[in-house]
Amino acid sequence: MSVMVGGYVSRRILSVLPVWLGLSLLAFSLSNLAPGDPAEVMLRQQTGEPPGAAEVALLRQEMGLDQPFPIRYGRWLADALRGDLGESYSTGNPVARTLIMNLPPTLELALSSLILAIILGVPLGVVGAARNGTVIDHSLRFVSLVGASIPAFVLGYLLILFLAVNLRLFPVSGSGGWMYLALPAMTLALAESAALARLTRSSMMAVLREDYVRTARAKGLRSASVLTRHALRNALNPVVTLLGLRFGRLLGGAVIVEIVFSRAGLGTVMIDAIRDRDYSMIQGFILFIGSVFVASNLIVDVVYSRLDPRVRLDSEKEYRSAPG
Amino acid sequence: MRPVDAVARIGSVLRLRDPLAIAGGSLIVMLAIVAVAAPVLPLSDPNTIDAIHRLDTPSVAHPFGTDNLGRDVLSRLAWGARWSMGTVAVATVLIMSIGVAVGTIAGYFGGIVDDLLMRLVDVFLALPSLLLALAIGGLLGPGFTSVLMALVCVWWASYARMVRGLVVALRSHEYLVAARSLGGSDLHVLVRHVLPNVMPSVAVLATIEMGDLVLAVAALGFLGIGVQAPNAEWGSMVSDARPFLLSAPRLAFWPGLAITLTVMAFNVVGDGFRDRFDPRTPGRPFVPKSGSRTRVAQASSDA
Repeated sequence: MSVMVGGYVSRRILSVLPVWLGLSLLAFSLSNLAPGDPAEVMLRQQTGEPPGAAEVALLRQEMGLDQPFPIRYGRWLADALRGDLGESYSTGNPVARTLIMNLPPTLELALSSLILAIILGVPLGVVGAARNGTVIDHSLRFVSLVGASIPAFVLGYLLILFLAVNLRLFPVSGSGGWMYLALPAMTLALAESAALARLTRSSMMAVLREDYVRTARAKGLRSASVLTRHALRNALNPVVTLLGLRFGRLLGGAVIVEIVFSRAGLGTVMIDAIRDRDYSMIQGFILFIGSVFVASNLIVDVVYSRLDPRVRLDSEKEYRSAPG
Repeated sequence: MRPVDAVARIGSVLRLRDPLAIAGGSLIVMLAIVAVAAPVLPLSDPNTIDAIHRLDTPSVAHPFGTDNLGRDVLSRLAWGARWSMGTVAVATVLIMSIGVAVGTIAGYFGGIVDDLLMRLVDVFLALPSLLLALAIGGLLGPGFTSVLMALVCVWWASYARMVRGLVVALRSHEYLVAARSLGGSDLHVLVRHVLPNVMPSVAVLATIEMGDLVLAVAALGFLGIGVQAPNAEWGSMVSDARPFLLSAPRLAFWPGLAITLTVMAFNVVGDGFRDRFDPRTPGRPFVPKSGSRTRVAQASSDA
């Protein structure tokens, strides 16, 4: 048994390697395909005026930009494997440190909204499935449709207007304690709980048709007990898997929400990097976020394989990670 | 024709039954008309700055009021529809072409081609879509082409994966074996027998994903990567309204509502199409395989 689990885990970790290599190549080539010469951008940033051709050529040589693409990529990758993503073209700070320092607030936001989304979304989905076809079900579906369709930045503004300005429950923007976390987390959680409610509902509907649910009902168990003890437990399997897969989506959403609420985190780093055309920061950001995402999927899969032996058996045939 | 009849007609042309989906379909048709006709509609110029009529409340001349530069909000909303719908339409055609081509080749030929292409797909799916779009758009700078590039680079991969799955499932069917043994070339079999079976699912996925694309276009615009100023775009209209959130919340409200309604419309129409057209069991999307991952895939596309 333990041999099997070990085999699955190591196979799963090995399967991540080509994806990670591809990610690094994607990150590096994207910023190399972008218009504009980093050396020129850097000099312009420092002096504020268009630099001379000689200066640019000198800096290009210093930065190693005159080397062919494979060599530059190889160097960058070798450094990246040691945790060094180079220096920011605009501020000169180490890219890796900037990203790691700004990860905790973003993770905090993503995780707290994930928890909030579970608390909101799963019960709503169960109620929707149990009251399938009633007014409650239809209104829940409509609400989750709106939740899935409203952009985070619009919802964020609405929450600022009603909860922060009109009711004065929370601060409008900024970083700090949980009071500052509340509005951004709600913004992110509402869209996510809408998706979770739909997913839980459809998963519950499928489970409620199973024979064992009919058996449980026929035994005369109370319907609440059938719902939670028999149906929900089985219906949650796809929900748990998807939570891990949607985590990347949450990270992406968190970046936008951080900007709406002027909250420190990776979002601000990214927007600054884009504004300053800070290529080294952007390529580091892509590799970093990709690695976090790949790692979180890996962890979910490994944890899940311990909970549900069928996953290990399935993966003997083929593993395919679902889209995020 | 009365408006109610027009809506019913659109519903029957699109072959939708759900009233919500019919309403959504009508909204999309209306937006498409506005998008195409924006230049000839009797609207004020969306970019004309009018210092005297700054932040005007709604009036006959400006039914939705004016923004902080005195520009007509209604007309900017209409031109914003042109940008959003135009970008999404062009992007969808490109994404579908690339995704279907890659997915069909990978699924039909299998082997090392399949492995390589699917690893590539894995790489693109290993990044949160919005962040990758943001990075690409940010690197290329503002403008139509860079938004288009960002959307296509991010979204082709999920189509490729879905199409590959469908083609792999089709490959062993007798009629494909028959078509080949009758001497049909790979190209003939692909175009005449594989593609027609794949396209309904692709069309359903495209409709559902269009809502996501509208959201992505708006988010890029909000972050300053979409359209170049002073041209109108819904997301950037919301972002420009930020300083006036308290004094004139309608400036953020209208474009925000426009985005939300458009995305809702695509979502309900996508759901309606799935129930109506997907040849597999009604209401159950795409993935024909059985096994524990199938439920996940079904549930995820339900979500």
